[in-house]
Order: sequence, then C-alpha cells, then structure tokens
Amino acid sequence: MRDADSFDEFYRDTSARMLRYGYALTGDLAEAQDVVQEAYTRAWRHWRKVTAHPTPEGWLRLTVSRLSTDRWRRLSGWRAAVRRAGPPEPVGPPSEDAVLLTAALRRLPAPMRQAVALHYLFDLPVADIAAELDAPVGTVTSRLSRGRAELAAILAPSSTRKPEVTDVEH
Amino acid sequence: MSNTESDPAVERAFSALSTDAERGLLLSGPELRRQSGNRRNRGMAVTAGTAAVLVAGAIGVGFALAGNNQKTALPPVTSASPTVAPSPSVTLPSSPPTSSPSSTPPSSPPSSTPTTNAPSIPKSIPARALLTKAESRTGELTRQDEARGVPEFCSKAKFPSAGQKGVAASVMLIYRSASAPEGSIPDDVVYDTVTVFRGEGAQDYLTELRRAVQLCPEGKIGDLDAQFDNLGSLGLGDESVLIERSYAALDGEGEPMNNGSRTATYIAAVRVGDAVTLLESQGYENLASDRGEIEKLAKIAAEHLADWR
Repeated sequence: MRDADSFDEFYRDTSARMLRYGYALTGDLAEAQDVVQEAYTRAWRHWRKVTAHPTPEGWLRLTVSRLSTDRWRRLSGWRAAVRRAGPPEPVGPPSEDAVLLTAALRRLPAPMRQAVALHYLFDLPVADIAAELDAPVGTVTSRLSRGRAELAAILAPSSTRKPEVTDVEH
Repeated sequence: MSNTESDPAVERAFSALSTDAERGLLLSGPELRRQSGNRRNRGMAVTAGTAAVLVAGAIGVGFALAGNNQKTALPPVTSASPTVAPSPSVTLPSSPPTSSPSSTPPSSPPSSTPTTNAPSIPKSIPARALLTKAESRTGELTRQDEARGVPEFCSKAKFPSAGQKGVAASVMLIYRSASAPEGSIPDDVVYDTVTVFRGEGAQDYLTELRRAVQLCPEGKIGDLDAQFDNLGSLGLGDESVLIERSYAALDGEGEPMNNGSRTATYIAAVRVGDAVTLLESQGYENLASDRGEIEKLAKIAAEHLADWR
C-alpha cells in the first residue's frame, strides 16, 4: 500500500498546520476541522495527482482556502454527516487570544487574510505567497503590509484607530 | 512597511491561534482514508453506518487531537488511534449475526397484517446471503445499521412493494477488481441489499425498478442530473435487471467538468424466489464503475442468495 503509506505520512506531517490555516481563514475551529478533513479527503481521492503537484502542501492549502471561502457550496457530505451524527466539537473553549485574532482576521478581506495567514503560519516568502495566490508580488506585499497594520491596530489594546476594512469576501 | 517586518502583537496572536488549534480533532490518516471510501459522494451525506463510526471515532477510535506545536502534530498512529482496524461496530462479524437490531427492517409497515399463506419470513438476513469481505478484495466490508432504501430515480418512480418488505439487510463493500495492481486505490464502492418480501413483493420490486427507468429517463442522484438506462436482464436468478445511471463527470473538486464526459454507475437486481439481492455501485469517489465488474459481483450475489434462500 505505497499510496496509503505516503498519504498517511503526508497527513501526519501537514494536517496540524493545515488546521491552523483553516482556523485562521474560517475563524471557527469546528469549521476548520470540517474543511481540513474534506480537503484531505479530496487529496486522497486524487492522491497521485497531488503527489505529482510541485507542492502537494500548496495543493492542500489551495483546497482549504477554497473550501473556507466558499464552504457552503463546496463542502459535500462531510459536514452534513458529521452534524447529523453529532459533531466532534473541539475540546474546550477557545482561548481569549485566539478569539481576538480570529475576530480581527474576519475583518480583513479574504485575499488579505490568506496572505497574512500564509506569512505567519507557514513563513512563506512573498514570492511563494504570490505564486500560490496567483497574484503579483507587489499586490501581495501590499496586502501583507496592510493586513498586518490592520491586525496590529485591532489587536493593540491602546489603539484608537478603527480599521477601515470590514468583512468583505471575494 | 516591509513585508518582512514583524509586529510582535500579531506574532503573538498567531502563536496563540496555533496553540488554540490543538483543541481540534482530526481523524487519523487510515481512518480518513477509510471514511473517504465509505462516503457517498456527489453531495450526499454518508450512510448511517458511517456516521456512527464518526461518533465512535469522536470518543476515541478515529479522531485524534490536532497535536501540539511540533511539526508532526498528530500523534503517531500507533499511539492514540489504531492504524487500520476500524471500529468493531462496523466490522462484519465472521459468523452470521443472530437477531441484531441491524438485521430487522427499521421501517416495517406497522399496519400490515401478516398473510396467512405467506412463506415464513426469516428473522434476519445472514451474512452468507450477502457479498462477503473476501469478495470485496480489499477486506473492507461494513454491515449497515439499517438496510438501504430503494435507489433514487425521480419523483415519478413509486415502489409500493416496500409495503411487502419482510426483512432486509445491507452491506457496503469497498471493491477492488482482481486485475487491479496491489496497492492501488479501490475500484468501486458497492452496496448489496438483500430483501425478503411477502406475497408478490419481490416480483413487484423488479417490475417497479424497470418501470422507474421508463418513468425517469432523467432524474437525480443527489444534486446531480442523471440519466437512467435499462441494460436488460443479467440472466441471473428467476429474473434480473441491470440499470445504468450516468451523470456529468466530476473534477477533483467534485464539480462538473463540463467537457461532455460522463460517469456511469450501476444498479443490478436479481430475484430468487421471494428475495431480491440488489447491488448499487457508487464508483470509488468520483470515478466510474466498471460494468463488467458489477456483472461479476451480481453473479456472486445471486449465488449467495440462491444458496441461502
């Protein structure tokens, strides 16, 4: 079962990171679980194609981001089934800091949120983020810069600045 | 502002989010693959049996905490979750079940009165009447908690024979053909349902299936527009029918490819006396079923039914 072994290894190595990414994009850990499991289900379904991809983890991230931003249309059976059965909720309540960040991230437009999450969670260079988001480097640089400023303003307790960007989805 | 410039507050916030994500529950890799095979795709929910696995998994079998801050965050599969063994609740017992709740129809018509001249309806369907684990060629076979209902066609299709249903049981098998290379992904997901009817219910069921194709040349499988075709008799049992259902092929995202290509799956029904064995192929994920393989399985299923009934 070479395919299964390589998939399992990939899953073990990447799924926790992917869950953090899904959490940052959706702002809800239970939804992130659904999205990430769905993404890996699709990866297994097309495993040979995924392994042939230049960056299999990038393939997963793209799928997670698509599912996160358009999840109600794209999620197929997983969520309905889990919901019906009684969803395995995350263990315990979210931490206060995580709630603050996810609330702040929700106020960023989706492409900006994605760029910031890729930078902070995967430490990707701007050029790699640009390639993954299929956007010019200059655009990504701008999104990162602005996104960080917005987040810093929201997160800083003494800040009096109001973010200009509201919950805009693209 | 340089893109490499770091903001300590944002750094801390993402660190907190990463830590918080450890509360998350993820399936182990083998369990996820298994669920992937079990799942009815095409926008439909998983079966009740699979959902039960998810519940069982949530309390310790299939799920694992998303881990800590190390790179390989999921616990090794050898520590927290079994590698390949599914929940006992979904493994078909090697011996025939006796009178488990799963063997009795959950929706037997409560108002139907027993007919005095009907042959006896067995209490349950034994495992030997259905396709077996060995025949799946993957070892993946799950007895369903409830027997499956009639296949989907369209709203015009009616199945009054359901009122004659005596007892039924279903298994789901992940199937790999004999010609498939070792280690390759499975070829199909197939449900086998054996139903014993009262009176003329079994004959009626076959007639209703053929009639459903006539009434529903086009219908639905989940959210997908499907076409149904009667491919005729399989030459098995007392009577039989093979039905093809096809729909626009799906891409890796589960979306229609819109390039004219189509995917086919099959319904094969064989009647032996007052009993019917019905195979419903799902295709492995978004892949098509192989007609020849379904015909082979139908032949085996018919032999099992004839041997038992």
